[in-house]
Amino acid sequence: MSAIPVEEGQKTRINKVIMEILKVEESRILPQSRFKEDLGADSLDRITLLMAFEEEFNTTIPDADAEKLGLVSDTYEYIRTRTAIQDA
Amino acid sequence: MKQDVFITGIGIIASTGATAAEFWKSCLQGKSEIARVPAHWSAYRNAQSTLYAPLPLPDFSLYPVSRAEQSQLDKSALLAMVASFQALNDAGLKYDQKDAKKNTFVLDGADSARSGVMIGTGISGISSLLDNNANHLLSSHSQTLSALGSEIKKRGNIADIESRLETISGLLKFPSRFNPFVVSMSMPNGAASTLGIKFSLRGQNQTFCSACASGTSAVGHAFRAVAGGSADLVLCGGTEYLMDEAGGVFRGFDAAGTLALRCENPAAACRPFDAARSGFLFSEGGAAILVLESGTHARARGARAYAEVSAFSETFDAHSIMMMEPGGIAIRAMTQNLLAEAGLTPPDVDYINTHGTGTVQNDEIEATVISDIFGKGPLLNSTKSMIGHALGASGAIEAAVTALSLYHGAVHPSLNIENPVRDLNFARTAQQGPLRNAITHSFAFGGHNAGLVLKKAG
Repeated sequence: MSAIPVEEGQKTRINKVIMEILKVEESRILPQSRFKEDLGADSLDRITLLMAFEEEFNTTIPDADAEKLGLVSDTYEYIRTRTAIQDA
Repeated sequence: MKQDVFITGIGIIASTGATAAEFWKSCLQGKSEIARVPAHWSAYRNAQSTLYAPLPLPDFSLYPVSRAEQSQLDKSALLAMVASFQALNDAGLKYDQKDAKKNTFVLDGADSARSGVMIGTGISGISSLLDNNANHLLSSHSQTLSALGSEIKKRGNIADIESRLETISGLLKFPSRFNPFVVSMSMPNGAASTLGIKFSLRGQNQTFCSACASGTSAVGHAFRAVAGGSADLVLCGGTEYLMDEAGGVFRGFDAAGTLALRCENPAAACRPFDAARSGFLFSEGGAAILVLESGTHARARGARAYAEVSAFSETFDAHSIMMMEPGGIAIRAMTQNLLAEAGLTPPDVDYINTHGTGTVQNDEIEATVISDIFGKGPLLNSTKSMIGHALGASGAIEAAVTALSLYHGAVHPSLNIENPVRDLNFARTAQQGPLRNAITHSFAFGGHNAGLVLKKAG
């Protein structure tokens, strides 16, 4: 049994949060998926997602950064960087 | 045509029970949960009272409550939601999921257009408002203080300045983020709206905001709606959540001189109707939700009834924003209205669940009015003697206790009555025996009085 790489574990957790909040199948969550157009997130869903990511990864996401998270891949990268800064 | 109205389901979350069954068992055992207020509160101002009744939050994973709902709703709305699930389950009412993403439901066998929500609350939402405001008010100053401390440490720590700055910074309590839902979390109608959305109830949806009488008024107006034929079913009751990180709500009541003193012995501090009473026990919060149904609706589905609601009255002191009118004129009038509407005389009332806060003035006036109208007849107790005062939730919790008392033929003890303020029939230990009719009433800051008569279901 080998350990799951940290990044893969993070992506799985991010996908799980997206599935939970937006009620979409995991197969629809692709790196290039757009939260609004592809996953149907309205403005309240976007705020809810941010709060859920904050809770899941015990971090804070400044409002100014929220605009940067248009794609699922943006979120993977943002959370990876954010938690790396925290862990440093 | 006037409908008869029954309580067919009860959900309760209180300091001594996370369900109605657990809470009722605690009541009969005379159980109380009392703790010291958080130690850091004394750094802001030394309060006269140091006790409160903590509320263990329910395990939300046991109910259909989503992560999004937990982050977007004030705790008072979440408590009302969980108590509603309990009440609906207890009533045997089924619900199906309507919208998976919104996590909403629709009741089986109930016309949503004729089903309503009536919730009482005193100051619900205030903890969300205070805590989120603290985030904006204090977070940048806290960071500045910490940075200043580090800078001073680098230059050689003078007279422990760094640690003193850290102490100050540590007392600036605020949540890690400002919740963008703070407006809907802070509005008093948040709980009633939440329940209407959650269970797709499209009939009357109202919030009753009359301080400590709110929950009683909500149940009373639900009774009026069902009795008058404008609703078949109403989810009604009260909810409150009063803990903010810095204890601002607690200190407000403490500064007003309303909270229990002589806190050295926590178990003896809250003593309604005792000569040595000194104030009420502050409650972190709670909720009680009742399912009220018309007789036609309840009988059609073979529902079990805890009690029938037979009268409701409200009066107003028109005297003082903080003090009760010493003669109890409006309370006497309310009691006479209740008896007249229910078609009863004083000897027909076997039990009164009192307002019984444990404040000097309340208990004196309440005991005098009861003594004048009922003499030593009915059994009396104070639910607040065990769980403290949860403001807008308390009237609903007490209405639920009254219904459970009629149903089970049992009255819970009223704690700490050693030298009663009047020679009345206080239940100092749990009592058993059939009860025919009972009154539960509440008196509020502002001057609002609300009372209900409940009757044993036939």
